[in-house]
Amino acid sequence: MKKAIPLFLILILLSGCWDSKEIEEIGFVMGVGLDPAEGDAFETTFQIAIPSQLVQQSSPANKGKPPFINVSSVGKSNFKNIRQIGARRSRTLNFEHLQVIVIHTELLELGILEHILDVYLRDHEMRRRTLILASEDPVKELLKNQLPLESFKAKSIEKIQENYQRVLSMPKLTSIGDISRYIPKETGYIIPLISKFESDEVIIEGGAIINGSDKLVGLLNPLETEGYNRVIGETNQSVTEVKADDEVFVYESYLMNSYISFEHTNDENTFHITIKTEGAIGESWLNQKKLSENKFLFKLQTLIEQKIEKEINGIVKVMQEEYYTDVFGFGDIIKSENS
Amino acid sequence: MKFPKKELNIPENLKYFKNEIVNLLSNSDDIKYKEISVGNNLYSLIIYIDGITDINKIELEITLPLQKMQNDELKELKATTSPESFISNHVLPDMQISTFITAKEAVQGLLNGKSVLLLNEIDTFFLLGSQKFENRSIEQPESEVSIRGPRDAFIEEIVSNTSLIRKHLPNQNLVIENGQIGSVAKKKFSLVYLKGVVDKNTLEEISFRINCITTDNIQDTGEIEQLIEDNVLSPFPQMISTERPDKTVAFLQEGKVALLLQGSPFALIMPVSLNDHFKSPEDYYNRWHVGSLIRNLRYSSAFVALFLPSIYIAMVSFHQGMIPTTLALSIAGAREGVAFPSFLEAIIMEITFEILREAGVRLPRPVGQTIGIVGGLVIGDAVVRAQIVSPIMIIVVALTALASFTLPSVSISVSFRMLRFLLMIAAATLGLYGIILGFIMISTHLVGLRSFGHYYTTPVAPILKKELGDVIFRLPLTIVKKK
Repeated sequence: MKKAIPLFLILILLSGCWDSKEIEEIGFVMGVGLDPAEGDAFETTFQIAIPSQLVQQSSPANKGKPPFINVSSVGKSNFKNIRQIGARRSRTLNFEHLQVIVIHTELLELGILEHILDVYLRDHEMRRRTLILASEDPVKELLKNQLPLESFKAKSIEKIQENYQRVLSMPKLTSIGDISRYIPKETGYIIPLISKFESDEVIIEGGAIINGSDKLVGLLNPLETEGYNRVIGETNQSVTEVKADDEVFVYESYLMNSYISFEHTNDENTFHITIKTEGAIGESWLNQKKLSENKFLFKLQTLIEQKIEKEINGIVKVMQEEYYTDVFGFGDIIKSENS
Repeated sequence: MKFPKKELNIPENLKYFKNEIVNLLSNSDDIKYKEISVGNNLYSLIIYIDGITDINKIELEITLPLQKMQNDELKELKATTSPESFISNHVLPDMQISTFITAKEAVQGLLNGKSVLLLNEIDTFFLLGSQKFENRSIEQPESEVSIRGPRDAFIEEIVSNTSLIRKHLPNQNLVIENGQIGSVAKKKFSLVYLKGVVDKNTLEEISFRINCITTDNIQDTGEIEQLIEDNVLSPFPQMISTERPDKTVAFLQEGKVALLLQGSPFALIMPVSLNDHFKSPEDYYNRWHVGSLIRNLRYSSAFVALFLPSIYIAMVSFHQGMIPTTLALSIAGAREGVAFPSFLEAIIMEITFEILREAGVRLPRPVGQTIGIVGGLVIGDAVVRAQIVSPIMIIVVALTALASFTLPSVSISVSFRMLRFLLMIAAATLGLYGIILGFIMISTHLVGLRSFGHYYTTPVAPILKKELGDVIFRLPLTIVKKK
């Protein structure tokens, strides 16, 4: 005890407040956008939070002003771009609360995903929960202006992406953690696609197809995305419009799971995709009388099955014949069966 | 008998003794004498100290019977070989009587409220139990309030205190061992324990340590606690002081020893472990769900009282990534414009709170409400408006303060409050790592600490499975049988 006290005092007095950085001296980066620039350079846009405006947003002076600023810098490396901000803004950037990274498709086409995300994958400040999105429109524009309901545009994008289970045309979210798993693998994957919607708004619909060598090979349209979602089984709360007798009814699923099995016979590889679903007729434009007949209900079931089957066949065919990319994780199933 | 008898005539004989007592008591003015003649040629002198004796009793039960003594009785008294038993049996049958040999002993008796009776011609001197100290009545406990359960509290009179314990525990094995403490002002103390349940070695150790005390005067059990504790440097109290007899009885039943001191309304319980500080008798009076939940609440409050300000400092100045995004931004927004770094901010507010608390204790009751106004309005509101501290810090301080008051033992909450500052410094220098280091230091100290040879962290370390049911949870009484 007598030795411990002076030792403790030495530890404290010599170290002081080393490495401490007060929370109000930090610029929280909420979103990052990566755009192509001239030459081999690219432009990074940072969305930095202004906490004081967030707290006093109701005050008349701040009304209508978004509680963030967007700062862009051009350079050949991410780190340089980040540090360049230090010469222009008072607060050092902090990425611990980074919500989204949006990458322009032109950059994805170059197949440099591994390098362009290197800082975001390996730096100690980065969190694996950060979402990755792709965009055909200039990302700088996408991050502009506040979208009502959320304080930050980046937060809005993140929150919209979280609705993927309810919106069929939106692919499952892809986070930094997912990307770090995908990159060393040879299989392809989908990055959700964000685009401009009307003037200020955004919409997440469709996806960017990335092949095994991390290169963008094409884009999924919303309908194809629905099929993709069904195959990977991320559609539990989805809504499906089905036509029956020239009228429409909506099938709302409570449960929709997919099981993929693999068979290797006669030197041919076969995958079986089984979809199990449970749900209700969420909305009906059909004749009420008919609905009470069992026979008619069975007919509706077949119609739903047919619709789902058609969508799945569509997306599998596109992947097999057009993009030659395995985005469903079939490769993983073979690996786990063989091992 | 130390004075020569034959050379002096009767009144001189008494005078001599009277002078000796007066000298020993430094001629104090509150010593009163009463000379009465008994029969024809017998004189008696009664000495007592004014204020601590019952004058009515002296008048009715000593003076009157003496004066009524008949001549044949006097003769018998002179003739008898044991005047003490004659007086206690025939003359003063209602009195508590003891004899003494030296004047020093007589003075000790006088100081304890007894009166001295001297009879010339008789070689024996008597101490008569006529003491009457002013006592307050038994009231509700001041520092340990409970909603359910007995409402009586100890007072400054040791006999009433032991009687309270007897009342709550009419057990034939209950032993009350009396003794005297203090080298100059001798005060009565009692060691209370349950024979058969108490550990004999511990009891011996306790009496040994108490006997080693050589201080002139002991005012309160708090002083004894400091003189006999195992580790003087430790911030943790190794004994529990309580003013509740029911709490004392509960501890006695667990085999612990209680120390009572004349003039102190606090019993000292020993040996204790850390989790005893978290136990309140109310835990047992309420149903076990409530008892368990409240006890768990207390443990988490202790955690909050110890760690919350340091965690705040560590989070705000080191690990901003660990705060949820929305909260991080609102803390950042609230702290914008605050002049001090979070550590200074926390230190300022914690010290302010300690000042408020101390002032609240010292303030006389009629002006006590001022504390609320000063604390709530001036400190709470104005300090935030002046941007000296952020509103979040006020929440942290208030929560910490409230949490530290949930502990049923005052002394342990004080030690948590002290350690809090240590942890805050650790957090300001090394962040969460510093808090962990501090926690490890506290833990290593705790497992090494002992209270009268008993490990302080029992029954958790070393683990005693039988007693675990009454540590974190308070299992139903049907499962955990109290001894």
